[in-house]
Amino acid sequence: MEPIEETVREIKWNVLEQFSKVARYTRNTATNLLDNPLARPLLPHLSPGFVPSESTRSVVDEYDVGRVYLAKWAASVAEQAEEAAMSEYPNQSREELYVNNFKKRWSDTDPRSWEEETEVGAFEILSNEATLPPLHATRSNPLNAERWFSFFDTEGRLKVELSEVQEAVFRGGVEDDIRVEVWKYFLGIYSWDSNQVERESMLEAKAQQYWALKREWWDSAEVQADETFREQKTRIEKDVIRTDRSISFFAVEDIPHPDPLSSASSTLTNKNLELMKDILMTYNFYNKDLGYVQGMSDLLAPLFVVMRNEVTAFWAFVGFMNRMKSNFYRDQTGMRRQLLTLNHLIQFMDPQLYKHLQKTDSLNLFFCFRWILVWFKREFKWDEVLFLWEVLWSDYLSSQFHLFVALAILDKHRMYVNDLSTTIPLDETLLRAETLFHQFQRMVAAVDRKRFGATTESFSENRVA
Amino acid sequence: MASRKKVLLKVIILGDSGVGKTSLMNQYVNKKFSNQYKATIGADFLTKEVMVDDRLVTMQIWDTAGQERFQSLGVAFYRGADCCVLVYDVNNSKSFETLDSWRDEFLIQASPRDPENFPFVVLGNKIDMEESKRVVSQKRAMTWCQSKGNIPYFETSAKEAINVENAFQTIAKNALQQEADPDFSYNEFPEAIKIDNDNSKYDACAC
Repeated sequence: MEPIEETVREIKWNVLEQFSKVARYTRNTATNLLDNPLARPLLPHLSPGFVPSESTRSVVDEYDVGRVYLAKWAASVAEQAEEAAMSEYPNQSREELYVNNFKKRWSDTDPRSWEEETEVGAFEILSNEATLPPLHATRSNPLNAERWFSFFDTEGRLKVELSEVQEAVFRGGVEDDIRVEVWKYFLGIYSWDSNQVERESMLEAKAQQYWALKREWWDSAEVQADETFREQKTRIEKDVIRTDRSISFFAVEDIPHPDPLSSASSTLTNKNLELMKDILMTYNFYNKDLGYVQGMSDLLAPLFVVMRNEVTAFWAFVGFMNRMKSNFYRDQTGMRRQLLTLNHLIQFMDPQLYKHLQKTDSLNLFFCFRWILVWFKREFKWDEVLFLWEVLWSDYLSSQFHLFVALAILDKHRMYVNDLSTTIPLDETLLRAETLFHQFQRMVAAVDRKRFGATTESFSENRVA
Repeated sequence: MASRKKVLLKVIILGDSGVGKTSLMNQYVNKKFSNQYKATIGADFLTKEVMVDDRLVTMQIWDTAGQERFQSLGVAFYRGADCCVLVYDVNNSKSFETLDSWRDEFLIQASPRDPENFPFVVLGNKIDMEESKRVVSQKRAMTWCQSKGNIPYFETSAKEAINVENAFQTIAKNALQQEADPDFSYNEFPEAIKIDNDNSKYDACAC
């Protein structure tokens, strides 16, 4: 059995369900699918015996059409073309270049020239979609203080749609001077519907809660003597002294080690490193089920540097961990699920790359593990990480946008991804990721439209909740 | 035998957090040492082309996180390994005592067909530290290695590049033997067992 046939159901169900947010009618579509006689053979999709029948075959065909469409699209963003155009129009911005590249590709009247590159010779969706406007991805300037404050009324309550804020942050990130405030919203320290007075009391309450939590372990001889506690403490210490030490905030060594019993007692430290340890120890206590896991210090460091305050850094970390914690589950189910989804996305959108990964026995995507686990923290430069994370927190296009960023990196770098640390241009990656996202969205719509014909309303590329 | 095929050797480095796994790998592959390595999270690999017995092979060295939490990367990660390197810090007895569980974990996850003869190599790292700090003697380490089927043992310093090249030569050599052994293979997943249509000797599973 061809691998594509084996996995086609999974693609349909996993990818589309994972990303169900992308199509606003997906819920209806799913219901329709279950009602549709064609779908019935697909229903027992967890059973091991998948027998290709006439009806399942039709689904396979549909996907092949989509795959070709995407293979062509992937080819259209090849770096060569981009570089060529760049030299041809040196004054064009990268964004314009992208758009023009797409226009050029979409207006290509002879798709046959590409046909040989793929195994399936059908371009049905492609030719139907060729009349659609080009996909558009844009980056803008970072959100500045003036615009940020214009979002709020005199009482400090948000007066614009949240989506407006989200879009601004998604498109350009935020400027340094307001970052500390903006992050407090995106990381759940402040609620979006609060006013200034309420926020002050929220902060007050959070501070009290934090100090109470910290005292639980800080002041307790019993806790301090506990073996698991000591183990975690050692682990945190080992990781903190290896976290972002090139950043000036963590670089200095100006105080002696506070714990003479520690294995690192002979080394000097600084107050920020010590506070990092305290925050992580407190989190270890706050979320006892999860505890501290390697990688968390990487997630905390940028938050602490931006917040410059133990209490808000802790709560910012709690907020971030609320969306990241499944990455750290003991049974690794969270990471497995994400890698599997990425695997399906690649298969769906970039079959050539998928084949390559298959050939090199890399479909487990272990080389993407770290990207996903700590959201590219080790792959981009410090400033870029701050920017990338706020873009991802914005949840503007999808809460799963980081997977499209991963896809964009793979799309660009193809076969040599294992040693990319801090060499990837972020802005270009984000443009690519957004374009891939729109492409994915359009493809989902095309497949569904083909399946349901006139019963499906026409697809809009507007933002979806 | 696939002796003319391009050979890729998969090597996995295991051991407690902070014993120097990443440093050893980087000293070997890049000839560099830094005091400022970041903790490895999940898994990371480097490759190096190396000559072993007049053959050019590619070593794919997988560095791992020391926290046992990531062991559940599991079967798929360990499978296909040709050699497993166990690292401890000679100045940290706990890191030595956990070698047993790292070895067991590897054998469980990778399930090589012949676990008794699967090639491990043990590295006692950080011998550059002052002698007074050392808590695991060479004798103690060698005794353990002998008891586990004569595992080759090296005392290394990733910082001073002591014995690193040597150790990895042995790792490559043993990995290549493992790879070339026609009798060797990993146990298949049970669910991949082929069921012959005409063969009613075994009941097909009811799943």
